[in-house]
Amino acid sequence: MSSSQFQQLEKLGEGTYATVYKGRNRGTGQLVAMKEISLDSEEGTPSTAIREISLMKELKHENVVTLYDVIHTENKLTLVFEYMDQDLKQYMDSSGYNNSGALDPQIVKSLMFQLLRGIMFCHDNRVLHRDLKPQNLLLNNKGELKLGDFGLARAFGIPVNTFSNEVVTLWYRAPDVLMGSRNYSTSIDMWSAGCILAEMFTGKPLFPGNSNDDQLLKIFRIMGTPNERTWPGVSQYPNFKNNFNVFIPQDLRSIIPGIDPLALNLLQGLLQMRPEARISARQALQHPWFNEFTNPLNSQPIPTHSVGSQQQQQQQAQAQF
Amino acid sequence: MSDSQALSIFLKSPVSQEMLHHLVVSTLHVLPCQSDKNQAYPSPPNSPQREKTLPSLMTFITKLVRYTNVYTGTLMSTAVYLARLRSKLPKDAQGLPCTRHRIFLACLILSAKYHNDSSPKNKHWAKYTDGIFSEADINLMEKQLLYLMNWDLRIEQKELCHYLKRFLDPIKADLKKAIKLRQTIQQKKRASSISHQNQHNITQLPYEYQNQYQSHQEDFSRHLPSPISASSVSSADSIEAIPQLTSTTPRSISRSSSTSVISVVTTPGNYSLEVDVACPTYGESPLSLERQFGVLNSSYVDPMIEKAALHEEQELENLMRQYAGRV
Repeated sequence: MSSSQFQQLEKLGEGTYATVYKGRNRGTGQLVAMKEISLDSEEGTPSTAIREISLMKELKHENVVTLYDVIHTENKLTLVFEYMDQDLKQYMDSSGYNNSGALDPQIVKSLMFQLLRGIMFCHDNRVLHRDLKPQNLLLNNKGELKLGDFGLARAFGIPVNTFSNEVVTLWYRAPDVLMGSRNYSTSIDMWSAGCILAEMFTGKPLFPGNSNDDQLLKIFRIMGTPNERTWPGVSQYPNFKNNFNVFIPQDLRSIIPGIDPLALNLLQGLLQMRPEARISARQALQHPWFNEFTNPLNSQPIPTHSVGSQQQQQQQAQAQF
Repeated sequence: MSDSQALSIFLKSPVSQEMLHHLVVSTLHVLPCQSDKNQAYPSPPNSPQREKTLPSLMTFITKLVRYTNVYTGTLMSTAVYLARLRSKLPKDAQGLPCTRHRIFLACLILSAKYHNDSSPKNKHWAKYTDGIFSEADINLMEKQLLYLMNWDLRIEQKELCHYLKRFLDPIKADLKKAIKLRQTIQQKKRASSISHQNQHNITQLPYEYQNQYQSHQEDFSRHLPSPISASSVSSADSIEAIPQLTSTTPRSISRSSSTSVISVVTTPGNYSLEVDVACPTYGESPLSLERQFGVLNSSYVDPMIEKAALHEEQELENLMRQYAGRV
């Protein structure tokens, strides 16, 4: 397919290695998102693009953004994706009570359920996303949430792969990875999911660190400083220090006042310090907090109510587009 | 289970001569290419800009491995890509003399980019080819290969095991024997603890175990076709006795080319491991990477050896053509 099949519209955003434009399929009129990566002749095709395309060609799921096409020219690589109206970050910024960014608990539940479904699909297909954060969770006006930006994603399961611990945006990076783990697996995404869940409730990032050490400190302040007794083997991590400031675990209810006890229980499962203790996406989806979506006796089969179900939010969301 | 166990052992072992040979043959298999010497039809002389003569695939691949210190897994995954490519190319596809070098290099670059979080840039790869290919050449071959492979670079364990079968089978056999031996030793221990009750068993078991081990060792050495394989299996010391890669090459070409086809295709991998009977220490192979690369550590290639390697690849090619012609 040639790029002339798509009409380029306004710029939607700019990332470190790509610029995203809104576009329109000239044939069908369908809106698309066009991610343009300029090719550097020294680097060749970036490995992030190679992996993103290779993985996303296979991942077809309602909670993963669809890759329609790839246009590879001399100096530009364009990925054509399904169009989504906004990302979760934008949505939170534009909504919530008094623009606090905090979302309605019922919306949080729906978005979290979809996030977990997307993650489970990736993990079932042996793919780690490795960069889950509100900016990479895309929403449309039907209230659907889809995982996007697989630039850091990796296939796992064969011992060929080598991993870096420089993955996941700092605020959403798991403590084991911060301490230098390179043999992480699916639990890396589950920690990010926990951070996102808390952030949706409060409108504020849970652990907004500004360096690797500060990030660990912010986590320890709330979750408690790990030691060999609470986390056997923790002292073996490369970045573990014996002189970490010692904090005792805080009650998460002090950070998210009024949180549903079931939601709190799920959050605690996701924010387990020990990667092995962290709940899997599959287990999380079976959590009683989601009973209304998963229980067949219940009359609410799909969790895709409109994101802007509250009128005020809808107006704000639309103003955004 | 035993597949993945054998695979992780294999992937932890250093790059061996046998692996390089396997990749040379896999690359030769992808498609027939015009050779410089043996052209069926006259063709125009080489373009003037390519002054460099094309090295043998063996030398080309060996140098890439040496310059990049590539992981065994990254390197051997190219076997899967080469096979995929072969099945995708039309039957009558024919390449230029350098096509296979391009194909192998592009496969290795994509494997490195796909499987590792950090990998060399294309400008570095251009350097690793000793000036045979330019940055622009490399960007083009990468793009063409991505297109041919339809960006499908994912490798499932099953597929990898299939293409590395000849390396994994001997490891699996050893693992099985090691387990058996361990069980026998345990039985023996248990038996000796109650020896006064059951003397018959104690005397019998160790012998059985010894015989097994001996016959196993015989099997092992019988599989080794040539001095080079034997030396890389036996121990680190004997490897060190071989001063550099170039001195190992003549052994492989001292065989007549027809036998070398067979040995290349059918010998079980001489993964460099020591078989420790009671407790195999496969994970930490006695041959450290440094030592292994010590072997491959000179950029000097004896012209006679290079000529012989080229000749062997040519012979292999002819044999494969004949074979293909008959089938």
